[in-house]
Amino acid sequence: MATTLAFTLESDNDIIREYVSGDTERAVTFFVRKYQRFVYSVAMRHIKNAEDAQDITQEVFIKSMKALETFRGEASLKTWLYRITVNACKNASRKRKFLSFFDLGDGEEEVEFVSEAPSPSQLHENTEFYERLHLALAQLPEKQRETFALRYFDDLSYEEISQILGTSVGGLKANYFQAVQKLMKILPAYGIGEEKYYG
Amino acid sequence: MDNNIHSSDEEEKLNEALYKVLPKNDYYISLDSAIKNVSVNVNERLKEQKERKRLFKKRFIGFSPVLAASLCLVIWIVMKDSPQTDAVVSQEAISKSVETATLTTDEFNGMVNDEVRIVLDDLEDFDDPVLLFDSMTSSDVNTTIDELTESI
Repeated sequence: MATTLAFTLESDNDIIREYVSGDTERAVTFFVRKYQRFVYSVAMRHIKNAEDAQDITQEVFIKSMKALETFRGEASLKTWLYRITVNACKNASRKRKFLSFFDLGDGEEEVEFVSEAPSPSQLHENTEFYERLHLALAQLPEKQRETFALRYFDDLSYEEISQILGTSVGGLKANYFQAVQKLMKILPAYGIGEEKYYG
Repeated sequence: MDNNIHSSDEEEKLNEALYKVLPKNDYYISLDSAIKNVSVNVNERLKEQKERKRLFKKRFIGFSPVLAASLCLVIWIVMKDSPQTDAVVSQEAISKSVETATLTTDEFNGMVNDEVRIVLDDLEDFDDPVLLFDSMTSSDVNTTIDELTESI
């Protein structure tokens, strides 16, 4: 997953040690490269806007780098980052609502992927793959969507997902199974898994 | 097959079927194209913040003697007048209390008796007409008798 360089920082502990010892730039680079997909995809699922998800990703890394020295290692870095990201998304949504209420900002320019999602037939061939996938994922109930994404794409164990979502492992397995079943049915309608949109 | 996963083998089979429709790599590649320069931007923003912090510290240290002098001036102006007097009065009261607290029982009783006697003497002087007239001169007595006669 992480980009391979001549000398890499393999483990999270290596990254933290290097950051604390003062070589911050290299540690930041490895840390960001290792977790940027994870943070961005979590932000994308919660904020549902590509531009905002980019900003939130940067914000999350800045926050987490500042707090990295205090990271106690009680949870995995991924679960820690997940919480920071979700909080950042909530704050961003709150801010957006506030601004749009007073008509101060770009609240109306929001591109929603959930309720106002175009029908599969309206999707253009050139729409980015991840946008189409997020539209398809948005058709799942929140818990199923999160369970599926965290398990399938982010390779988290059920125990870790259980810590994040507060659901039992058994419940998560059922959620995952149902999510996969639904996705198998709806993905082709979003041009995923079909030759004409592929590659 | 019911609506659940009972073993890792079952999940593996499910994932294999899904992988044919939704390869993970396609998702990762599409994500990578969406996220650009995050590490560069984060490094730059962290450096900027560090620089701002350093400048603030520098300015604060440069400004601190002026700040300290202003603070001293304000304290001096506030303390100059009334509180000082209050402080002296309070100090006297405290030292008196301390003095009283260090007296022996006999000394304390003696002090209380003296105070009581003074009060009683004052009361006696006020109530006893003989003592009252004793302290008057003959002209004072005459004046008083005249005044009383007039009022009757």
